[in-house]
Amino acid sequence: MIKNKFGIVMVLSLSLIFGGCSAQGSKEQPGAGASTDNGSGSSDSNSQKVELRITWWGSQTRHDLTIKALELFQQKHPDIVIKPEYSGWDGYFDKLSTQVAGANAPDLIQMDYAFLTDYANRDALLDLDTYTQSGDLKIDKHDPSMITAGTVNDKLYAITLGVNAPGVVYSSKVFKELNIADPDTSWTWEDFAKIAQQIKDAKGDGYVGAADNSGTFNIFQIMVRQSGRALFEDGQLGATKEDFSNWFQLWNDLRAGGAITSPEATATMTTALETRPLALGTGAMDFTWSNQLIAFQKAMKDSDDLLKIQVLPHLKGEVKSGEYLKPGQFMSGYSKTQHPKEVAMVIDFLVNDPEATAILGSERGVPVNSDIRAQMASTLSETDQMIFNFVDTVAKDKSDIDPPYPQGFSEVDKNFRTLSEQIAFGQGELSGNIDEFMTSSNSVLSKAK
Amino acid sequence: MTASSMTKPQKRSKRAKKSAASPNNRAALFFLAPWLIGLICLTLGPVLASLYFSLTDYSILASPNWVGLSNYTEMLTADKLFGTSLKVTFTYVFASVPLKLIFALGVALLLNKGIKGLGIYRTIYYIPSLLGGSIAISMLWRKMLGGDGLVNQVLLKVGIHAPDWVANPKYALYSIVLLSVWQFGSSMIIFLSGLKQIPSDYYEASSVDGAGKIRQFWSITLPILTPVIFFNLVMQIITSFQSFTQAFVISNGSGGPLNSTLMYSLYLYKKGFAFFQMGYASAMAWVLLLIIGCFTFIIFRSSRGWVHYEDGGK
Amino acid sequence: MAETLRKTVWLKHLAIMLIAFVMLYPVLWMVGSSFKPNNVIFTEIGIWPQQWEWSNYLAGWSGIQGNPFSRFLSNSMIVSIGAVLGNVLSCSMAAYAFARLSFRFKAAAFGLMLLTIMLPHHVTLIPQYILFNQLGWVNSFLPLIAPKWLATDGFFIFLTVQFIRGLPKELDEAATIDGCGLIQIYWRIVLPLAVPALITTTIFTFLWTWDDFFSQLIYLSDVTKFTVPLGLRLFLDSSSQSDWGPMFAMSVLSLLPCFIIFILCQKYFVEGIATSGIKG
Repeated sequence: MIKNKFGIVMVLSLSLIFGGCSAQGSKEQPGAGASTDNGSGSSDSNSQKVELRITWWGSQTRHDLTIKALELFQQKHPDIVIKPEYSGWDGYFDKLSTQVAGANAPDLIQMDYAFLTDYANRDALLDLDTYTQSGDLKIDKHDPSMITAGTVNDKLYAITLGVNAPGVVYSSKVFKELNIADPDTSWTWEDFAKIAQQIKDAKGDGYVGAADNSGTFNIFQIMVRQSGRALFEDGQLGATKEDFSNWFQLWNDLRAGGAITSPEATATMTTALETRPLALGTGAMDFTWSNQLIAFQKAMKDSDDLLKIQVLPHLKGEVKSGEYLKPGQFMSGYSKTQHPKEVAMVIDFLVNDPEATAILGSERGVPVNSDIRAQMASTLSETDQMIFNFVDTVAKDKSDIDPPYPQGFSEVDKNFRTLSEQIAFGQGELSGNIDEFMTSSNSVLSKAK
Repeated sequence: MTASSMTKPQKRSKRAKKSAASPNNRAALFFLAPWLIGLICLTLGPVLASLYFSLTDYSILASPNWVGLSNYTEMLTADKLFGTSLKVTFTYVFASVPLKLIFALGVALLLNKGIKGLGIYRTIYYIPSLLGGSIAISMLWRKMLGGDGLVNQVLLKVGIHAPDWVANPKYALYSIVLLSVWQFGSSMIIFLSGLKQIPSDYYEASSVDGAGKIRQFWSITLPILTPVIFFNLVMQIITSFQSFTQAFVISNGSGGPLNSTLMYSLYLYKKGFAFFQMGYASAMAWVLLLIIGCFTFIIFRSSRGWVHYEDGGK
Repeated sequence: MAETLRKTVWLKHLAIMLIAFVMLYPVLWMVGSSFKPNNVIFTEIGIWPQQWEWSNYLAGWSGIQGNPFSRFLSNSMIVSIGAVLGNVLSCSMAAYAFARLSFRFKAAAFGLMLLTIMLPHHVTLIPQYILFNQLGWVNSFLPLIAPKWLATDGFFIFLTVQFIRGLPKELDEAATIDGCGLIQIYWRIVLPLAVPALITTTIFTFLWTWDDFFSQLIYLSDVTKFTVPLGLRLFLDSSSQSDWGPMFAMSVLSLLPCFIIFILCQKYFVEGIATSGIKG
């Protein structure tokens, strides 16, 4: 009895393995019928079809739109085949770095602002300057600050797919209910604190004015910029101890009045919007990036409650405006790609082609190309309209973006979060905690240089 | 009586061992062939590579440069989080392993025989382990142990205001210990299959002798189960030291709040993949291997005193 | 005597049922959530949905970009079954050698085997990827199945060794006297008696492979080759928008094969094996 079972089992699984083998084998030769009659367009001397792999993370909507745009590209360029490899956010960068280690990364890579330097500094990304000069990749209509954002060590490594601006998102329903006027673009951190406290006092226990964002490094960055400094300077922390204590003092006061989420509730929040107090109906304000507004609205428990967004509060007597436009995601090329020119063509298509950008819409943020932005303005939905207007508002009052984060940023970012937790849970005292954070961060940063 | 029936086969098999003492190298080679090929072709290379990486500044993205022992010295002298993660992991191992094993053995004995619908109960008891480290678990755990979760609502009814068990740095680790105990299914299955190996005539013989249930447990069940208990103990220690998924899922990959759930493997993973210090992560891995190795060695040594094999060996 | 016996049986039942409820709760909660609309999954406390959202199942089942969820299920099935067969055969062979044969370097080999279990896999992942990439196996099921045929899961070798060592050696001797070779002893005597260990190997390998996100993520890139854990993650993008409803619906659905495997296998623990009478 058992003997028979094992026999069947063995045959079955052997055939499985060999089946897998042969499938792999046939896949290894792209364009097996090498004698394609299609030699036009591409500059490659041979007449083989060019195969490109592209990877990105995102939601279903993004997958659908991006694939549609890529199909359009292939229609226009029959000699180029594009193989999409898409996934959710979880594990995306783990896989990407593994592929880079195996010299097997996709030709086109959707890149995140936080990781750009890490990849660019280690020569994993394609230097795009050659192709902006040759005209394959046109960037003359792009916002200059977005080009700065994609530039590491004076080389352009990444093209912005969508422009974002940071803001405070809030529940219009609660503001109306409590007769709180919508904040205007000139509001200050004191106003923010006052409103948060007012909401808390009016709504009582179980409801807070705002989510505790003291651990969000890039919101802190805005306040540092308002003081006229940069978060990082010359590969070290640019923020002073005073910047840190002002920031945490602001949140400490709010916490003392119960105006923000308790340390425990804060620890429960993740980047998933469904876990934010605003979405859960237990808080009135939160900090976010403009492209998340649509998703935020969808995550709302009370779907009748319309979200509004306003610029970040100002610092009293600020040196400069702290806000800046940030790239939502980038598209980059892989440094070891066999077909760099075609890679540049695809990137160009995704950000500059009127039809492609019409398909992609503002899912990744407001288009980076000003012509495209103007062209799209007429066909926008109401929420999209709000986002576009908001980004325009910020664009009028922004200051230049700082250079991309230095290598070692992710570790410093994690330590900043721990610092905010130490302060919130009352572990150690403020000044000592800040000193310790600054020393350890600077040592992480100098090691990473 | 039971004792004599235990020792008799042992004596005999010792003799048998001598007669079979001529080494069967060739047959062993045959049976070990798949394992040997796997070891040489698939496992050994990466293992040695990681040892080499531990002596370099490997960042995954760029090729490694030799740095000697500096990863190890940094770990032992400068890295505060390394100490934190060690402490978290030791607490976790010493809390979860005994609890889980005792619970699993108890339930396995309960579900061994003599109850209607055994299959259904076993399946139900295995459910938590079926869910593994799926995304749903982290949400579920918050629903049950969070600030206004199920447990606290019950406690509130009896007038107790309890903290958020998952998000409070004092308790967060223990909520993960609880999760691992709750997922006791795998150890239970191994105990169950061990119980199935006990020939029923052992019990029959001892009943005739008038041995009660409790004496049967101590004189028959437990001794024969020792190889399986030994296995579960060793494996639980090894896997608990490497525990990653539960802390990762519950804390959303952060090891928070306040690094209270920063398990060793979680920190290692962050160093390697999120901070691009694979060299350092590899060094951490080899230090962990040493720690686990010591524990395993001690258990193996002690096993001579308490593990009884039917084949008469030790 | 009979009275107290009945009482203990009754108590036993009560305890079993109480624990069972705690164990069952998560699945009930998952099933409940799978019928809730996206925006209340995080807020609704009760299991029973206030508003039934059947479309979660439809949306989940239709999958993504022309890849129905059934494709992810069948891919997972291929990988899991391939892994089970490999593990059962290769690990039991190695275990037989370790448990019953005497050979040179046995202790060293066994130690080496344990050592490979002790090293955290995160640091061997990258060299392994590079290896499989050079073999041209990346983006196929081979890196997920082939290692199992080569007994790389020391856990199961060790497990089976422990079981085989629990079998009396007289059986082998008797068979040797009857003229059986070692292969026949392995196949006809040891394997049938080690069925509980093989069943345990089957259950664990199946479920662990079914659940394994990380290595499947690393090795499979083509969406048509995606397995269940990868398919489920496609519904989620924690950086923007997630479809929790369909994710839960498909999570519930993908538990079914695990249940079936488990129920089929656990029977062997109920029936047990007739080992009585074997002992001399």
